[in-house]
Amino acid sequence: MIDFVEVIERARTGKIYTPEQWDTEFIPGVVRELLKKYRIEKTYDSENPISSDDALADAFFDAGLELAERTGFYCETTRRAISFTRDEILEAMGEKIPFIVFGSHPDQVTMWARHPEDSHPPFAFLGPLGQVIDEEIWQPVHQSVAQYRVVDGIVPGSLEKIKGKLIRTGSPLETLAGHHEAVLLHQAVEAVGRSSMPLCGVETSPAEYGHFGGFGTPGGYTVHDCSIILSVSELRTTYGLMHKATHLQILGAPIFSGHRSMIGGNVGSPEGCAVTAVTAVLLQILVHRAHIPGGSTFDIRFLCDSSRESIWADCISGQAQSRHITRPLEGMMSVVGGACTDMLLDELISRGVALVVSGRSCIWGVRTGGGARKNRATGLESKFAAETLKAAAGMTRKDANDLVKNFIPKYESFLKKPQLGKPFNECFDSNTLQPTDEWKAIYLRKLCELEDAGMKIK
Amino acid sequence: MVQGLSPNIKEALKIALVQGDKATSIKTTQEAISQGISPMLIIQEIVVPVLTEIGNQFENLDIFLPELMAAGEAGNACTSIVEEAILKSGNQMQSEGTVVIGTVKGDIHDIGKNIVSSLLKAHGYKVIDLGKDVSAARFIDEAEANQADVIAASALMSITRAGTRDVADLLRDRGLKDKYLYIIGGGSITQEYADEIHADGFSETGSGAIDLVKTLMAHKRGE
Repeated sequence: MIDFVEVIERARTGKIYTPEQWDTEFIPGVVRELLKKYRIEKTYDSENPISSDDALADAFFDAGLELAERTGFYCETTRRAISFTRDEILEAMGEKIPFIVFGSHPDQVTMWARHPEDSHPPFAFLGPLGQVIDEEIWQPVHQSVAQYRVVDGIVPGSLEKIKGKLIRTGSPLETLAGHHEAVLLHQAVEAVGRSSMPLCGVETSPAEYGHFGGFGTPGGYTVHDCSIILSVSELRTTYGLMHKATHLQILGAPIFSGHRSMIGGNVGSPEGCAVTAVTAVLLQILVHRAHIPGGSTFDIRFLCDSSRESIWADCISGQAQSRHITRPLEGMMSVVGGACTDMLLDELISRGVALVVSGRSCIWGVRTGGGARKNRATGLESKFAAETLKAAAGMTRKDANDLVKNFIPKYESFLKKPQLGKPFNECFDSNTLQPTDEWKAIYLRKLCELEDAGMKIK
Repeated sequence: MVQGLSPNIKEALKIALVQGDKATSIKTTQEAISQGISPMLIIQEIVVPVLTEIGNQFENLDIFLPELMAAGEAGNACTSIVEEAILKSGNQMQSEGTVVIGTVKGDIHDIGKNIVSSLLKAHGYKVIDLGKDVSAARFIDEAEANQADVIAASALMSITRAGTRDVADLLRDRGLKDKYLYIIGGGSITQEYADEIHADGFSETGSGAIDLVKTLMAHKRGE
């Protein structure tokens, strides 16, 4: 693969664009052209959210590859495009990573590169992702997730304060918070007897400061854990994100780099987002040296990825990616239903099954309630998501399509006004780490519905 | 003598706005004014209804953000020419209001802000878009410099929403709390949070933000 120093140099010397040119003219223009060229316009099929059409998936891959070659990734810091030749992209893509082992003995878990309908189980990296969790209940919330061994790795919530002081991005508190998050998470998993389980951080800090505080520092996240780099939509990076990638390479840690293409946004349609998601995966291997690249979609109308359009786009894009790239590929579950609601579990079924049968390996979530309201995540939705994800391994896309077609209508009319559910302390017992009867009953009912639909949960 | 709108002008400007063709929108507006058409008629009968329809199309995924933004820019350009013509005639333009908008310090996500910014322009507001990663001080300095009515701050991530609180705190500390309407939005914001930091309003959606600004402005004017 092309040397990383050369990538940094291209960020300094590449073609200049203003952010507006990149966002509203260049990228949308090329995407529109490629949708026509590869005859994949208007292929969105609302009746069949999970496509089984390999030829269609391959057309999306070809379009995504050409988009990668023609646009590159935009560096916001230098306002230049980091460009690559087709050969450079194909060379990077050709470097296979069949599996990555996370955690350490005795809690090691292997993340396998997967393909559509693959029988290898996906890796469930779950927890109160994206949600502020107060320090007072940080331990029980995270213990409630870690206690379920079906959850392979844990993604923490975000801290809002440290020693009672609000954390602000760019302030030194952010560096401290990155470290504090890792220390607290280690305490939580140790308390439930899983001290060496895989962790994923730094979640509290979007910038490089928190990452430097929390990753590779004494008491912090280690090379056995998973890092987080989130690219900016569409196809953009910053020096800050590249700092994280540089630091992780020095440490020798596995690099996860994700990207969300926005349905309704600059690349617009489900088809445009699916193509761009393929491109994001290809280019993050080069620009962020991602071992686990991610290219998913996000529906800006509902601030989630469980809409019918988003599920369809991620299925076709995921198949395009996993049919051609042998690396663990990331897919996200960012839903809007709150804890202790049917809606949340219906969204997780639809989204999760779709990601798994499309070949995603690293399923990342659960962004309960869209992450907007604090202290509203529990361990039970992570358990349910992990169980569903693993049960979906080996399913055919056709069977999965039949299944999600039954579950999407249960929640899609609520996406604009989602069921908010309850905060942690109203649906989970902090001492026993058990859900309330009400929340448990919803969970059991949903398991029965899955069984009735032909899915066996172990 | 003030003329009514001819179907040709109406159609030409409508097409230019729908296509986000700023140059043709400006040219057609200038032609219309030179023909003696009332500047306000151009706004009331073409710009606002056409851009409102474009906003609705965006909500339904019939068009996407680039088209919405281009139409908003073209509409803004028309409004500036109309404003200039009204001032030249010695009158004052009755603007819907001026909004200073941006994404807070530390947050590099701007799609939600761009949607609200474009929709506000489409509804006849003068919008000062500060972009992203905007400090609390800059929000307020720009509001002061532009005699704004509304400050609108966006934060996508739960870890960057403290930036919206900083704007609220600085407005209070500089004694400007009652001078501006302060509204917030974005993926990490809720009504409860808006209440907690004493913002004047919150909206979950782009179209909701327009209704919110209209309601707050009407209330401020005593309507």
